[in-house]
Amino acid sequence: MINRFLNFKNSNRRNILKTFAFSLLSFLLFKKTKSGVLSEFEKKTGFKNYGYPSRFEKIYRWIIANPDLYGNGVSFSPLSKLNGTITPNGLHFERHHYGVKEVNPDQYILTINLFQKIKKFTLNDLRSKKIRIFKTFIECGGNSNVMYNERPIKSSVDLIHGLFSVSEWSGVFIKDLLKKDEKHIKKLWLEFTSYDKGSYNISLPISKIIDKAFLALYQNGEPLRPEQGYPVRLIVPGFEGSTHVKWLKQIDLRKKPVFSRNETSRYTDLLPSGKSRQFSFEMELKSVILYPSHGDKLSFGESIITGLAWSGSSKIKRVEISTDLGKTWRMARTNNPDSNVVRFFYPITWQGKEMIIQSRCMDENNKIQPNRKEFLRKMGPNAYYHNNAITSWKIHSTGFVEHVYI
Amino acid sequence: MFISKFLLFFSFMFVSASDLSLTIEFDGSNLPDSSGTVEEGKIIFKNNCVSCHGFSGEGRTGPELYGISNLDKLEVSKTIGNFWPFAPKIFDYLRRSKRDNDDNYFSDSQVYSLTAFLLRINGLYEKNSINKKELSNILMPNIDGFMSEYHY
Repeated sequence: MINRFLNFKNSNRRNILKTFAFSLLSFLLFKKTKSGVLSEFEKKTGFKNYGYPSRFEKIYRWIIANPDLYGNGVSFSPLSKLNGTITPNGLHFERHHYGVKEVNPDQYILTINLFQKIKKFTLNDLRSKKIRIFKTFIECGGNSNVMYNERPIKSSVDLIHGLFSVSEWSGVFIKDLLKKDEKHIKKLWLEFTSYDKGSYNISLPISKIIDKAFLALYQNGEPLRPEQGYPVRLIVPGFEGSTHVKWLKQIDLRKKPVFSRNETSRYTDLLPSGKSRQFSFEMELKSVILYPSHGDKLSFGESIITGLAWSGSSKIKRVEISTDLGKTWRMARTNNPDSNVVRFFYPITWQGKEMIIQSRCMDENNKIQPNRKEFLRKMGPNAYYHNNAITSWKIHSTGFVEHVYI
Repeated sequence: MFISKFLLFFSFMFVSASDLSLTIEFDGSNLPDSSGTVEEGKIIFKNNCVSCHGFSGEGRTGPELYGISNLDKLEVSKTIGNFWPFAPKIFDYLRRSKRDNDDNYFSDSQVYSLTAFLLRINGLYEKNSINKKELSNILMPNIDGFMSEYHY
C-alpha cells in the first residue's frame, strides 16, 4: 500500500518527490495539532487531566495519505526517536483502509456466529471476562516494502521500517468466549469483520490462532485509542497487521476462507514463478539499526549502535552486528533475551573510517535474517510484502549516514 | 440417508450465516437476486470512481483496475484481470466498501453494473447484462495463481 505513494512502479525519482510532498504535509499537520487546549481548572492548578509530551520534544509520525480518499493511508512510528521497546499509544503506526470508525461503547455489540448458534457480547460483558496481558508487536505486512525498490530509498529509517509498533495489550482470549464443545472445530476458519466503512474482513484458520488470538480492550493500560480499533480489536501475536481487525463487529465460523479482497488481491506475495503465496500470516524475524541510521551524523569516538529485533514465530535468540560487509558478525547485547521483541546495543569506537554497519538476528527456531540478495532470490521483486532483508547503513568519512544496498 | 441429512444440516448452517453477514461466497452461491448492465456500470464509474481510478480505470491515487500482463515478469501491475481469483468477490468488495459521491453505498443492482463494467474493461465479459448466475460462471484467469500451506 505504501508503495502506491512511495514506490509507484519502482520509480525512485517519483519516490523522492512523493516522499517530499507528503513529508511537508505531515509537518504542517503536526504544527497545527500539537498543542492541547487546557481547561480553566487545569490552568489555575498547574495540573493536567491528561498529560502531553514536553513541548521541547518534536516527536511525530510521518503521514502518507490518499488525497482523494479521506481516511485512507498510513502513519509511521518514529522508531528512531524512541528508546526501550514500547511504542507510546499516540505514536503507534496506523494503516487504515476505510478511515477511523467512531464506535459508541454503550451501543457496542460483538456478534459471534457459530453457524446456527449466535452469541452477542456487550463491551461490559467482555470487560468482565478474564483479562490476559500480552506484550507484542504489530507489523504491517507491507512494512519495509521500499526495500524491494531497485535502488535504496534515501529516507529516514522511520519511513522504511516504521509500520511496526510494540504495546502491552490486554483483553480476552477468543477461546474463553467459546464453550468446550465449540473448541473442537479446528479444521474450520473464522471470519473477522470490522465496523469500519468498508466492513473490512479477514479469515483465519482456527487451528493456527485458537491458542493465542485475543480481543484487545486495553493498550498500554488505557482503553484502546479510536485509531487502534476502540473499543475492541483482534490481536494475533506475530501475525501481519492486516489480520488485527479493528472496531471488531463480528466473528463468523466458516468452512473455508472467505477469499476477501485483503486476502487475495492484497496481502498475498507474488513470487518470481507468477504464483502468489496466500495466507502468509506470520511475520518473519527482522532487526533494524535505529541509531545511527540514514540522515544521522556520527561523532568521532565512542558511540552505541542500537535498534530493535523481533520475530513473529519465536523468541529472539541473538542479534549480531557486522562492520565488514557481513564477513564477520559480533554479538550485540539485548535488553530481554526472553522475548519476541528486543532492543539491542553494540558499542563502537569510530575513528573516521568509512564503513557499512548491518544487524541481523536469529530466533529460537534457528532462523537467520537473510541479506538482501538472498532474500530477493527467494521472493523476487514483486512480492511487495514480508520483506525482512538486512538493512545496510553506510557511514561516510564525514560521519554522515546513508542507506545503501550491498 | 445419512449423507443427505448431513448435507441438509450444512446447507441450513450456510443460510443462517449468510443472513447475518454481508459476505458473498467465492463461488457466488449467496449473490443477491438482482442484475445490472455494463452500460449502467460505465455511467456509475464515470460519476463516482474516476478521481481515484482514472477516467477508464487506468489508476491514479487508487490502483489501476485493468490489465492482463503476465505475473512472472520483472515489473508487473496486479489488476482485477490478471490477479483476482474469483469474480463474485469483486461484487463482494464493491458492495461492502465502495460509496458514491454522497457517501451512500451502492444498491445491489448498481454493484452488479459496476462489476460488469470492471469485467468488461478487463476483457472478461462480453454481454451487456449480468446477474447472479452469469457472474458466478465467470472463470478468472488467475484462479490457480495462489498457493498456501492450508487445505480447505
